[in-house]
Amino acid sequence: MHVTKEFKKKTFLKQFLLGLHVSNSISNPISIQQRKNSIKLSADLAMAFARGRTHWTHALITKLGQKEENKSTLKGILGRRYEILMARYSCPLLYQKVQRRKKSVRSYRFSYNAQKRRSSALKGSCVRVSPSVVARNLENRRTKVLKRLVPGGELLNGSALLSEALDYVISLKAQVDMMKSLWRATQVSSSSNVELVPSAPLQKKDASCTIANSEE
Amino acid sequence: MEDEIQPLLNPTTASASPSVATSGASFTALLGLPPNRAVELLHEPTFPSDPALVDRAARFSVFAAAAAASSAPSPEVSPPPPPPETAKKRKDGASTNGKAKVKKGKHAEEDTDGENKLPYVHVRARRGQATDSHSLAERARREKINARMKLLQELVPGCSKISGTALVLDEIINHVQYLQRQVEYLSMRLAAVNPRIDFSGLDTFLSATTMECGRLTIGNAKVGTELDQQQQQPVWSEVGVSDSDQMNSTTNSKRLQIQLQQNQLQQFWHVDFLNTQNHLQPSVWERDTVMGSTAPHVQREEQHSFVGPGAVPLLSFDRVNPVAPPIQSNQQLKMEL
Repeated sequence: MHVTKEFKKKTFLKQFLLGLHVSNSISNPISIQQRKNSIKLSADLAMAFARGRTHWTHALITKLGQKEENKSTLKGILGRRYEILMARYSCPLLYQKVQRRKKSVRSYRFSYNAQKRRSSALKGSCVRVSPSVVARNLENRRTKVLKRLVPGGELLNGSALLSEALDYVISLKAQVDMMKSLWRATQVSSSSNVELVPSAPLQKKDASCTIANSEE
Repeated sequence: MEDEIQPLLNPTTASASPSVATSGASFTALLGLPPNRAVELLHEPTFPSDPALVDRAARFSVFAAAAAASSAPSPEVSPPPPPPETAKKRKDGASTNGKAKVKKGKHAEEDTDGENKLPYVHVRARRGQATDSHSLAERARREKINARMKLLQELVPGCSKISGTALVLDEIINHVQYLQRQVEYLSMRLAAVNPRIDFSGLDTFLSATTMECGRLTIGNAKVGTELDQQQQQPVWSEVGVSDSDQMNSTTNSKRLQIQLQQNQLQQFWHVDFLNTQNHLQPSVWERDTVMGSTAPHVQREEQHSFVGPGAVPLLSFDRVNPVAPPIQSNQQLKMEL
């Protein structure tokens, strides 16, 4: 199991750098916002690729591919896989179904609240709700939020949603760790240029750094 | 992988087997379905370097082992099931043993490895609970959901103390939102810090990062949570070997690499992380040029241009010194400890 996670980190890095490379070459982004978006895009893609084939990865890739500004980058990164993926998973029907379901949920909730209001108006201020109903309501509300958060979660239910969420959390954590360490790598490489580490064990490296600096 | 989990398994099997014996395999049989699915689930996703998850995986593989162990008692369970079969037909809550027993055969999806999956899951209804098929299915579903919730609880930090589904869900949602926000924040930072990422030497960097992954993941391990050193080391030598295979390096440099990684590991655990960054970073670039020295000099030029102004000094250092000083610095690293 450790082995698979190591490979995942390697593939993540490869994909991430490839994505950055492609996004930089395709359009020289001017503002920081654009750069951030391209970085985030390639990071998400890299995470999805490194994870493999799961429901949320496909949903994530599809979602990213549907946005207009990402399409060129995606094409560059995925290459011929882009066409295959888009053809298979760009079912607008799927998302229409989701939209319809959302609407029905909303209308149901509205009607339920209206019922509650009516009942409360009739019975007075207190609405007699049993604790299990309350708990169920809370849980339903939270499940809906979770569905919105996890990519592709809208279509899932119950235990499948939870397993996808579990997988997603694991991958997100790994992604965050990788980006953090990349960030730290850039930090260190820039800081070692500026200042030499004064500690004794690093004398040899200090010498090397001074050699290097003098060479420059 | 099993070897790594073995030491974790040993203290837990001792606790698991008595429970199997005492509860008459009913509890684990009840959990037999979800942990199997959970184990299946755990085997699919890649496994993060997180000791809590390692513990959890160990626990669930304990359940798998216990399930395998309970498959040995399941032959003795199956003689009692035929009498409860009739009890089920009676639709009676009380059984002869005073405990409602219903055998429910559920076919697992696939028998990939026999030690992990039982062909049939015998679910026993608890005392006083309804025994019709609907509620059974309902209960199985609920058990599945509860098992997943438990996994999520262990994954999200600070969730194990909370009881109740809604609050745990709340925590999970908060955690997911937090992680997503962190991704945004980190991408913003990365965007800000590198005004121009020059990828002219992309190929060499990609091949170099396969080694850097070793260092980076050590970093991850330290930053995330404390990891067992024994666990890491076999992984690292494995990674080192696979990396050097990719690089087509000489055996000398292979040994160097593994040595370096182990040195880094030891260093890593003895010294503060921030300091070791400075230790590790030069040694990674040294390693890069250990690789690079075998490759044509053109690659070194590319490495130069790639990494940018920050690491150029380090790389030029590497160009000056041949392979020998890295070996010396290795020994020096060893002696530092």
